[in-house]
Amino acid sequence: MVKARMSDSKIWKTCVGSMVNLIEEAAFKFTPDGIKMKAMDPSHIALVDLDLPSGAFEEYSVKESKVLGINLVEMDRVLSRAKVGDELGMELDEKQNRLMINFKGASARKLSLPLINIDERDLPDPKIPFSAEIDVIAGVIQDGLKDAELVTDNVQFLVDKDSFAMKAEGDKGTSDLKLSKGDEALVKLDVNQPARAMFNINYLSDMMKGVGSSDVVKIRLGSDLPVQIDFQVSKGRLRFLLAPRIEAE
Amino acid sequence: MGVQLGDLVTKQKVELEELQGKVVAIDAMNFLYQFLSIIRQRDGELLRDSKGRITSHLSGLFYRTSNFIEAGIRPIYVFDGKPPILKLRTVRKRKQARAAAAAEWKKALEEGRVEDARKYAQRAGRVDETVVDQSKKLLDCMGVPCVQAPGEGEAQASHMLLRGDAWAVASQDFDSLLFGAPTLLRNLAITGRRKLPGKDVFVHVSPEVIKLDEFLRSLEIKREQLVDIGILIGTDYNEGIKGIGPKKALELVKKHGSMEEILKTEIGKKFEVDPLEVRKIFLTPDTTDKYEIKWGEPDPERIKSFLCGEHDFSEERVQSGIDKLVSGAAKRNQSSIEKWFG
Repeated sequence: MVKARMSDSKIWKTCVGSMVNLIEEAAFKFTPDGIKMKAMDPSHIALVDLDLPSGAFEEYSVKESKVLGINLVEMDRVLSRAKVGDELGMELDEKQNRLMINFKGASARKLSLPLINIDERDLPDPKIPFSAEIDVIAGVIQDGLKDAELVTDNVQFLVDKDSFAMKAEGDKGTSDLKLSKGDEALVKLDVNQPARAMFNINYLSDMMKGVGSSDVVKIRLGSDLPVQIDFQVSKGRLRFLLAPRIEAE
Repeated sequence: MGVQLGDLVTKQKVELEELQGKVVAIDAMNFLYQFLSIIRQRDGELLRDSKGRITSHLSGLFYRTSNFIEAGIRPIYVFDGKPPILKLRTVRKRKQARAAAAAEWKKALEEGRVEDARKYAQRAGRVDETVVDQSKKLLDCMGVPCVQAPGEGEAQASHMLLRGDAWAVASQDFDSLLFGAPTLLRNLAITGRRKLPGKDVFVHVSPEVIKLDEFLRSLEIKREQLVDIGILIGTDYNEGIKGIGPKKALELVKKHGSMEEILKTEIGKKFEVDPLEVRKIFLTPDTTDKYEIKWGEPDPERIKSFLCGEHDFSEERVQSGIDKLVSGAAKRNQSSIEKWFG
């Protein structure tokens, strides 16, 4: 049996909404401890890693682990039907090979999604020697990306002992965002070694799309290393890793 | 052409986008040959400019390569040098086959058999010096590196893989596996929506990956034995034994262990050239470490003056190809997350 219920559908909607721009299909592992999912985008530039413990749900019952192949685009469309404040239920219909999605608010509504076959490939945990930790208000990053987008396709993240910066430079001009220690939006700055790395703006924007602008995101950086971006979702976390652009090889 | 391993091989389909960031050493002669065979008018005639000069190879090279580059692939075209002496006979035979096909083609055209004409025309395609020189010039304008092999292009390409400079050899032939290439990529030149020969039916062709180690493991043989199988079936350097196909060859090699042992049997007497000499071509090929691989920016002005100015290509279509080259060049420095998988 696979059955889960959360009082606010928004949590799951945010998760799916953040992932759907990067991956179309995903194999969700429903384990007795919670839901896990790990997948790369088709170009293998980004990795999505979701860990939503059973505690994130009001009701959660999974007797034995099951892998459910889900088309995220379809699921996102179904979830777009949730009304604000709706309760969300998910239940596996093994006979029909479907996932039932129930919204409970002004009325009780049921939608169902066919499950798909996905080659389940266990992805390794990347080993990345990050040298800096930055916790920052998401809205700031979203603004920095929108600025950078005006001038080019890539943005550089720079961090040193006292500040975090996003810089972009292209034919159309430059953009520069800076957060200094003590700034309210910079919740934490812990730097072992200054670092800089360049990333594709489209990917970053897709990752930041689902998150609320006042939420805190945890960023891990290292020079010419992937960036790790963690969002807290209820009692779980949604993690993105994005490989850098490396200018000279 | 090349060694026919067809039935034995285990392949894995991939999509173009999964090849993002991968360096692919392309068997240039094989690609040009494919372009000259496939890129034809309906009656089998090659594409030509207003002066009657053949442009099928330029069309294939430009549009297909710009698709690879847009997908983030890093192509290197590896050109043949001097063929091994044992290949001369094959070269002569191919010439005869082409001449025969050209005659049939003409006849079919005269008699109005369009599909037949197309079939024979494809067999009449040839890669000559002009085709090679023009191709190198175009690739240079596109910012795509070319490597000149001292001997066989596939041998040089395989050598570049073994040195860690490329991920796969791209060719329709299987010979690179015999040259020791760890990864072979097939169907790259014909990826996409393609017409089935002789029918008005279209299919979607995806690239196929063949891993040498998996392939050898599945057959439970060593690479030297794969070479021996090739020699039994026939290669570009020897005829092969009549009546021996891939399955029979595998059986023989497994039973006897090596070519040396097979030579002691009746079959040993049937070779027209020394199989051990052929084996040497595959195991110790003529290759070089002197090559430079650098992907540059495309030069739109030179591309336009060459393709549109000299060879009457459509400005609009060439511009869309250039756009792909530019966007691909911009993506080139993107690394893959797999690089950090332990």
